[in-house]
Amino acid sequence: MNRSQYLRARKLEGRKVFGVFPAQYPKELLWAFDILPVEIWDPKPAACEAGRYIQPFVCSVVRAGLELILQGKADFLDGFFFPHTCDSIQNLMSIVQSIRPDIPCWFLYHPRAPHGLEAESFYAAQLEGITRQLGERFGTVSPEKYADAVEAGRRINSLLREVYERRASGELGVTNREFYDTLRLGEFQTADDYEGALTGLLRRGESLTACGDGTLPILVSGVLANPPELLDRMDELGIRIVADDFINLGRRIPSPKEGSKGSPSVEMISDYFSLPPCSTRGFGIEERVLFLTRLLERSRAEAVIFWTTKFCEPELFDLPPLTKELGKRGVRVLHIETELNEGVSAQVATRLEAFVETVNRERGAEI
Amino acid sequence: MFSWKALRFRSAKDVVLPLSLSLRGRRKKAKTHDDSLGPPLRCSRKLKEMMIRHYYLARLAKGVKPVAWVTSGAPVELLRALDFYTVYPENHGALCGAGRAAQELCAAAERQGYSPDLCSYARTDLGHAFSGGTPVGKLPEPDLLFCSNNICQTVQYWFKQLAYHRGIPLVLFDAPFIPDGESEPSAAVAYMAAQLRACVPKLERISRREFDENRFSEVLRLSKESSESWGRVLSTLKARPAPMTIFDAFVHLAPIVSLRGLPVCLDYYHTLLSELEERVGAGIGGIREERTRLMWDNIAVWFKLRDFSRLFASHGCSFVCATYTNAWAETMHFLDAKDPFEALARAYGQVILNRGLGYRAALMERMIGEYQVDGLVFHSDRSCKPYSIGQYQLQRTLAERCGVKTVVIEADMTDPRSYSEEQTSNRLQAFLEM
Repeated sequence: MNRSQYLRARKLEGRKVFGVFPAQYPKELLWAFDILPVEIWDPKPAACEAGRYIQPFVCSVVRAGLELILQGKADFLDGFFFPHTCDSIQNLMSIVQSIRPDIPCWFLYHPRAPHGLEAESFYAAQLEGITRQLGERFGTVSPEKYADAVEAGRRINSLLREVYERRASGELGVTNREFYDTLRLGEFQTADDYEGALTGLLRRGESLTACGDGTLPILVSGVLANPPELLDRMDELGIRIVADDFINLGRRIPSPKEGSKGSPSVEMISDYFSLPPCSTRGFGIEERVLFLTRLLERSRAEAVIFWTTKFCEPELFDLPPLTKELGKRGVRVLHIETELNEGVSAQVATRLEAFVETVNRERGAEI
Repeated sequence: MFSWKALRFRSAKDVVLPLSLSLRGRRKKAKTHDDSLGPPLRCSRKLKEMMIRHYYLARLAKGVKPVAWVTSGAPVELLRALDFYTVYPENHGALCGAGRAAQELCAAAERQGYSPDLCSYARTDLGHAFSGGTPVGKLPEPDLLFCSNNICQTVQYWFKQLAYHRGIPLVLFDAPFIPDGESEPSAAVAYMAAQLRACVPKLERISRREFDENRFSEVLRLSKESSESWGRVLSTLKARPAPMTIFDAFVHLAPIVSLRGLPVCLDYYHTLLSELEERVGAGIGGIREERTRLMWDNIAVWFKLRDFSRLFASHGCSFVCATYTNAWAETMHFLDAKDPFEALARAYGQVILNRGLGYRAALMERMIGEYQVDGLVFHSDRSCKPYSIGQYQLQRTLAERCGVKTVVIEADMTDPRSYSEEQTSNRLQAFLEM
């Protein structure tokens, strides 16, 4: 069953479905209202309409998302959710509001770091406002149901942390492509189904041979793993992604916590403010360097690939200082820039190959 | 306590600069004037002297006053109350653009790994940081970076780089975006006001000065009155013929951006306003023969300012309003010294670029009516996403609602490499013939 069939089947079960633009949003709150969020990162509609609304210098995440809506492929949605991730998504919301006034939009502003107490209060006020608005439209939610949704989110985050740990220790012998295909199911599946998929991945990994030997452990940082063909190329070159700092994955997994300490909303606020540093939420260079350095140590990655999406301003600004700081620490770094769904150019493939050869030569390993 | 630096600063301010500017004025030959334009504004000389003075004193300010680099939409009133000398990298970027120095500075940033797809103001400024190049001689090393993301998120990404490279503190005034359809943003106002209160002790530490509430109130008054005066200056363009064009206003905008909250800014706009009122009374226009009235959307194309000014004037087209120049007159009525922090939050949190496109469309529709606009030129600025994304939709909406002719030109505010002369000329030619 593909994503579209899956979503239509859930609609037939009586669930509401929201289209959610990148990146961070209160997923558990939507679950509590029986709303299934489907994240719009890299759909593949043929480009034809979006150029009437946005300029060529806008990133392909925004372009592809708008194209999907303009081609009527989001007509079945019950709402849109726009987190304030960047200037482009901010204005995309206005465009969508004007071209589809029939589909309601929800909005969340991310308080930019550094976060003081006033940022927490503001975030809490926004969650309260969204809960009230959703309640007015879809009926109120019991505290038990909200708590269950938050708990499901916690279980999923815990599984994700385990998946990454096992990957880093070489115990999860799946390809990079399979790894990300499974992890990205969380962008549209229900909590139960996604939990099942992650558990299945862990079981499957156990039954496969350990994958650590002879591969090059790499940390990848960027927006998302697209085009997926680059993952195939990495598999062919013996690259094993052992950790990621992707906006759509690693940067959305909060730090682990012991037990439950408060109401569902308090738990969600606490998780939100323990997320890894992200370029889109205003974190400083030092915080990002510290996070990446620790992730390198924890995952035992031997090099870093910055995999950016063209025109992604927040990522592109941070790139030179991050490269410089990692270089000072003796870490080999490669920067690759791609457009969504456009495959891997020969130039990118050659650079990747040369990078692997160089790093492998330095570590004295056989290619 | 006696200090040579302070003495040098004071003598430059009170003796050397007035004298050298007066001699410079006497020596200066009059520039050749385009016949299609109206007579030049007398105030232009005063403006030039003011800005020369501002940038010259900036060189000497380090060690005499605390120095801050500030974004154009940041609530500078807090810094003024603590006697910071402020420099605006965006204004500097515009100067570099107009002086055609930006391309080289952008390239210097690109050599350090910054993508050519990034904002050209940011690249110009980072290029200055790496190469030291600037047409204004020298910028003072900042003690503080003060930034607000009410105009774009880019300024925070950019100032973060400056903080990293220069190893100095960055204070952010985080202004939540207000989407269309959102009513009174009370939670956002409370959040912004709380941030402003919380940053005062930090600013006191950096400036080594005590925050003086009376002085703060006085600065707010000056800011509010300057902004109102700037608004009145722009309102004179409602007259037929408009006494100056928006290309003039882009230049005369500098004090409200860079010197807001200082007496010199208010004095300047009083003088400019008198001159413009005089021109309105005498029927003197910004262009010789005003036949068509236009509106500009987005930041200026700084390196084409003079060319565009002449081109449109030669076709009898006068730009009488712009969303960009209007931005500094738009929300300052919220400034109220009775509750200063909340007032600053309201004034700075609700600027045009921090609001949805529906708000912008309504504002532009109102301006089209008030200024009797016949046509609209949208500058699709490759460097400025919040200003540019959505312009195609605005173009359709306003053409339909107001029946005005419209055109979109693709360019960049400072980087000439993102500008195609031939393509733009063709588009503008077709527009002017409509």
